[in-house]
Amino acid sequence: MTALYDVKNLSVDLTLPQGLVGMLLPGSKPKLNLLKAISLTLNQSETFGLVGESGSGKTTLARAMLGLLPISGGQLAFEGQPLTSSRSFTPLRRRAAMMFQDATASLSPRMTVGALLAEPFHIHRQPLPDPNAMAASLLARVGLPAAIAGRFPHELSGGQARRVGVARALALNPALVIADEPTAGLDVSVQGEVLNLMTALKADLGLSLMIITHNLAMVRHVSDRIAILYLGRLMETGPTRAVFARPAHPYTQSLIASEPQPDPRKRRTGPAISGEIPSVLNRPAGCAFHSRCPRAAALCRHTTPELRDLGQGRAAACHFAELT
Amino acid sequence: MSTVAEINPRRRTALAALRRDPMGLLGAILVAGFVTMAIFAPLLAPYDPIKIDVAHKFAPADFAHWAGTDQLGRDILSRIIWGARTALGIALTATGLAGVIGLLLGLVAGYGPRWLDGILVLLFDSVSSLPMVMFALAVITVLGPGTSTLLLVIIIISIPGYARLIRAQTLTLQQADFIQAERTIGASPARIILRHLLPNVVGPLVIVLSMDVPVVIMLEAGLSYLNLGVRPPTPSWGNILYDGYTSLRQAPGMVIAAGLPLVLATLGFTFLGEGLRDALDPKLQLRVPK
Repeated sequence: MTALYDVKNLSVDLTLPQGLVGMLLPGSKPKLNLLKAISLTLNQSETFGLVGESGSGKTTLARAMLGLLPISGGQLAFEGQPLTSSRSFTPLRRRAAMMFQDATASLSPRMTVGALLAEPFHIHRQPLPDPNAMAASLLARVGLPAAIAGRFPHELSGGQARRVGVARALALNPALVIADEPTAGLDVSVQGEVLNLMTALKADLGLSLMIITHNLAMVRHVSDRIAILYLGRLMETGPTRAVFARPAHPYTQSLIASEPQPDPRKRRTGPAISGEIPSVLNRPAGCAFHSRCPRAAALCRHTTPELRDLGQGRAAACHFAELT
Repeated sequence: MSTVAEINPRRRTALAALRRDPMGLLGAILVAGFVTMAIFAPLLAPYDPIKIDVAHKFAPADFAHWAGTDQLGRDILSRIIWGARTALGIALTATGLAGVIGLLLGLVAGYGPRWLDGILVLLFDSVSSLPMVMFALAVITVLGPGTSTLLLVIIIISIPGYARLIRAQTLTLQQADFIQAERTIGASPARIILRHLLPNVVGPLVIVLSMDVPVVIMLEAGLSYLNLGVRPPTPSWGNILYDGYTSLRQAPGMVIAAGLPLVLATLGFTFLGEGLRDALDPKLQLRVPK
C-alpha cells in the first residue's frame, strides 16, 4: 500500500490577535501551540479514525491538512507531492473533500442544493453538460430524491443535509474524504444509515476515509487504523483491532475503559479517566497526559515522551509503553 | 423549479408584515407620492420652475399659484415639485453609490488579509472622526459648490458606516463552516466574496440605506440652504427655504411650503425604513400578534 497523505512533524501555532501597531512592530508575538510534532500516514483506500476528546485538536489537524490553517512546522504531502505553497494545494482541493461537523452550516445558505452540487465542477472547470442530471445522479448515490436539488439548506433535515454533504464531497470522485464527526447531531438510526452509506461508498469508489470523532464505538466499527490525540499531541497509533485489544498508552487504556458498557452486569476493568482535559493555554510540562495519568512518574513531569515505534505497525508516546 | 413564493415563504410574510404595520404603510404611501412627484415633475408642475416673472413676485396663494410665488415671481409649487426630483435624485444616488462602495470595501476588509483590514479600518475611522459640516465646508471650498461636490461629500462621509457594518458581518461569517467548505473545494477569494459572502451580508445594509435616505435629504436641504449645495436657480427644498427665510416678511407662507415636503419626505422614508427593518427581521416578526 502506498501513502495517500503523509503528515510529518506537523505543528500548528495560533498567533494571538493584536492590533495594527502590534502587527507592524517587529519582535516575538504571543503564540498558542495547538498541535505539536504530529506524524501520521493515510494509506490508499483505508479508513482512518482520528480519536480524541473535545479540544484535543482533531478538527485543527484536519483543517491544517486541508490548508485552511497556516502551519508553523513540519511537512505535508498529498499523493507524494509536497504541499508547501497555496498553489500546491490545488490538486488536493480537487481530489480531497471535507465533511464538516455541522452539515447544515457547511452549505452556503442562499444557494440551492443543485447549485451547491454544481459548484465543484465550476470551480475546477470540469465539464458539466447537464447540471440537473448530475445533481440527480449524485443525490441518488446518497439515497436522496432528485427533487431535493431545488431546496435550500435550511429546508433540509439534519440527515438530509449530511447526505447532501456526502454527495457534494463525492462530486469530483475524490481520493480522500475527511469526515468531521459524521454522526454528530443525528439520531441513532440515521447515524447508522449515514455510516453504512459512507462505508458502502468507500468500498465502491476505493477512496480513503478519515473519520474524526470522539465516538469510540464508531471508530472501532468502521476504521482500519486509528490515531489517538490528546492536547494536540499524538498519543498512540496502530491498527484498530490491535489497539482496542491491547492499548499500549495509559490514555488509550483509560479511554477504552471509560467507554459505556452495554451489559450492566459487567464491571469496569482498568483505570477510568478522571478530571478534565487541561487547557491549551495551560499545557502541563513534560508528558501532556501526566496530570491525569495513573502511571505518571517523576520522569513524566519534565520529559515529553516521543512517539515510539512499538512494532506491528503500532506506536505510542509514553515512557512506559511496551507491547509485552 | 417552483415559484419564488413557494421556495421563499419569508419574502411573502415580510410583505404581509409591512401591510399590517400602519406606520410602515403610511411611509410607503408618502415615499410613493414623492417618487411619483419626482418622476413626473414636468407633467405635474403647472409652471416652469425657473421662469422669472417679476411682475407677479410674492403673489399670495390663489388658484393660479397654489403656493404663491417667490421674490422673482417663480411658482413655488412648481419649484417644490421639481425640488422633489433634486432631493430624491441626490439622496438615492448618494446612498446607492455609498452603499455599493461601502459594501465592497467592507467585504474586502472583512475577508481580505489582516494588514489590508488594518489600513481600511484606519481610513474609515479617520473619515468618521471628521466633523461632517467642517469636512463638507472644506471640500466645497476647494471644489466649489454644486450638485457633484455635494454628492461627493455625502458619499465620502457615508461610506465608513456602511463598510463597518458589512465588515463586522463578514468577520463573523468568515469562520463559518460554509465558507471553510468553499475554501476546501478550492473556491477563489473573489468567488467566496461575491457568491457566498455578499448575499448573506447585504440584507441589513438595505435596511440601513433606506433609513439613511431621509438623512441625506435633510443634508442636501441643509447645505443648499447654506448656499453650499445645489446652486440656484435649480430648485431644491433647501434653496426655497433660504429664499423663504430672506423674504419672511413679504411671503411668510414660503417657509412652510418648502418645509412641509421636507418633513413629510423625511418621515415617509423613516417610517418605511423602520417598517422594512421590522418586516425583514425574523426575530421581531415572532412578536407580531396574529
